[in-house]
Amino acid sequence: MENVAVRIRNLSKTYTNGGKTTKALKNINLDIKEGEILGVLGPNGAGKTTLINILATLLIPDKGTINAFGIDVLKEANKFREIIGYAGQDSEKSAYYRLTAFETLIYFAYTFRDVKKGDIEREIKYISKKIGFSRKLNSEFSTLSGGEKQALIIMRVLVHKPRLCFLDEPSKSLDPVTAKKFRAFLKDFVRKEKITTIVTTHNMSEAEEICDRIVLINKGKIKFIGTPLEFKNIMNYTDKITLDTRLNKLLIAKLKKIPSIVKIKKTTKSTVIYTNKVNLSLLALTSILKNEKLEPKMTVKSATVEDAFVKVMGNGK
Amino acid sequence: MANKIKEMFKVFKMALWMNVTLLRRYNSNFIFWVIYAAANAILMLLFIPLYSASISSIGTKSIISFILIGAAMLPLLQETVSSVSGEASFQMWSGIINYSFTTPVSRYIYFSLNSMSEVIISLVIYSPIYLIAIIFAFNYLTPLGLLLSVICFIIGFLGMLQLGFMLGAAMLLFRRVEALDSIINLVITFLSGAFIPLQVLPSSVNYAALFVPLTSSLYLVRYYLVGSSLIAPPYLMWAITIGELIVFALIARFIFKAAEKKAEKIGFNYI
Ligand SMILES: Nc1ncnc2c1ncn2[C@@H]1O[C@H](COP(=O)(O)OP(=O)(O)OP(=O)(O)O)[C@@H](O)[C@H]1O
Ligand SMILES: [Mg+2]
Repeated sequence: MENVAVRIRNLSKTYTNGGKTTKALKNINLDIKEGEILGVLGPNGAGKTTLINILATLLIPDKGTINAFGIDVLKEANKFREIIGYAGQDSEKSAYYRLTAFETLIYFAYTFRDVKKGDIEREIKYISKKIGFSRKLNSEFSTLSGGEKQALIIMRVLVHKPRLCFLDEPSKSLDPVTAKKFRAFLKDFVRKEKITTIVTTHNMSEAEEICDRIVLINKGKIKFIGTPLEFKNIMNYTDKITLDTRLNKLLIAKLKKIPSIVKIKKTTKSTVIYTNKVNLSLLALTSILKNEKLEPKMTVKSATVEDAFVKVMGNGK
Repeated sequence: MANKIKEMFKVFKMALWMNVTLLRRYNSNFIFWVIYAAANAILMLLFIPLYSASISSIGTKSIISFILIGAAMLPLLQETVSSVSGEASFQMWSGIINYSFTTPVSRYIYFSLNSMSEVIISLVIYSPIYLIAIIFAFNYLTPLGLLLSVICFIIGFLGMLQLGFMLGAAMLLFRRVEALDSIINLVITFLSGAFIPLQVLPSSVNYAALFVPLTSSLYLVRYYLVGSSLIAPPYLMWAITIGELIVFALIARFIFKAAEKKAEKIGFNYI
């Protein structure tokens, strides 16, 4: 797990289009570990797709180096292409409309990859069963729904088992149930096949669920690299307790003395208590409220990756 | 080298497989194409009286063969040019060109062989007309003449493909070049000799027409099949035919390379 699969150094990319320049990536340094699932997160226009497209040899950076499994990616792109799989952000149309799903997978695998007939057919059947695609295999590509097209495009990447795969928002048009199935399968499959996977997403819980590590990009710069847990720990609280009433100053002062409470915020109609030990805080809080004969409605919510995201991005501005 | 050839073979085989699969599934279109091809031949045969009037300058032994060869080659060329540029715009619009960019298969090989497989089907559609032309020329035909005419036909066809690739590559580079397609079609219609026999036109027009791909190969095909007259000695016509094939292939490759370079800077989605 600990070997570095891809080493990215000083990577920068500027787009010049119609006289306007956009700095999409600014001096990115990143090591991707062999076998890991790395999530790339960040707001719209952060540079995620640019990064993926450079890694997938679609774009040439202004400067920087990329070394993957001993291959100098920018100089030996064609050698590198033999071991990668790619599903771009706008690739849901990238197939021949009148071929069936099955034919599409066969066609692309044979044409572009060194695969054996029997292997690939077995793999197609296996994967479609796992993600619930089997009954669509004989449907024409044009008749597939948006999410089904997307699923097919992802399958196209996985059937030939690349060593390194790049998925740009793979679950974007999948419904929640399919997305869940897909995530479970993806995690399982790339582990089993030892496929190093780089995936971009806007879905924080998805990142939390499947990624070994996440990279946060904002305005072309890396803001954070680490495990989802480390990411969550950026927050100094683990849970938020919300009371549907505004507590008075005296009570707030009392609560602030409880060591497990880190912060209290009042809004127009409620009081939010941030804690790093939810059980202790709740005990103390209920006894204080009882003394005051108060019975506000209480909701407890754990800190999410989203919260950390907002925090990191907030600092970035 | 061996690997490249293996790769080309595989890409072509798969493209052909796809086209045949689709042809079998949607065979009505194939039937319409056959009707179109036949209509082309029949309509051009209506001009027999016109051709007969100038038979001395055309110098052909069979007017019917002479006309049918043109009827087989002109629409074949038109389809080649437009189906290759159609393939280019489809690959760009669908994003297939992006996907193929991330695989070890050369994009140019993929693009050109894929287009070629599509055109092969047109070739199948138009070859019966060519066959009928051979039948009408049978009395005058020598085995060597037949062989040479077939070779010229193939070289001419490959030249047409290069012209198509040129237009397709230009489409990748400039995005919209439909007008170029029309210009090529216009020039080919009037100056290839397929429709209007060049033999009846002033020789200055003939020399100019030699710059139009297909003209020289069409001249040669007819020369070997039915002994129609040439504008220049055969060896020169051969040189022009083969030279054009090479030059067009190089130009197409060059434009494609330029498009690739541009794409690597800003992405194929945006060029
Ligand atoms: N071809 C291009 N020409 C000019 N600017 C571009 C081009 N492609 C991307 N950009 C700009 O570069 C920046 C990064 O874009 P990119 O597509 O990498 O963002 P992203 O993080 O993938 O966003 P999203 O979440 O919306 O997919 C944006 O400001 C975008 O407008
Ligand atoms: Mg993106």
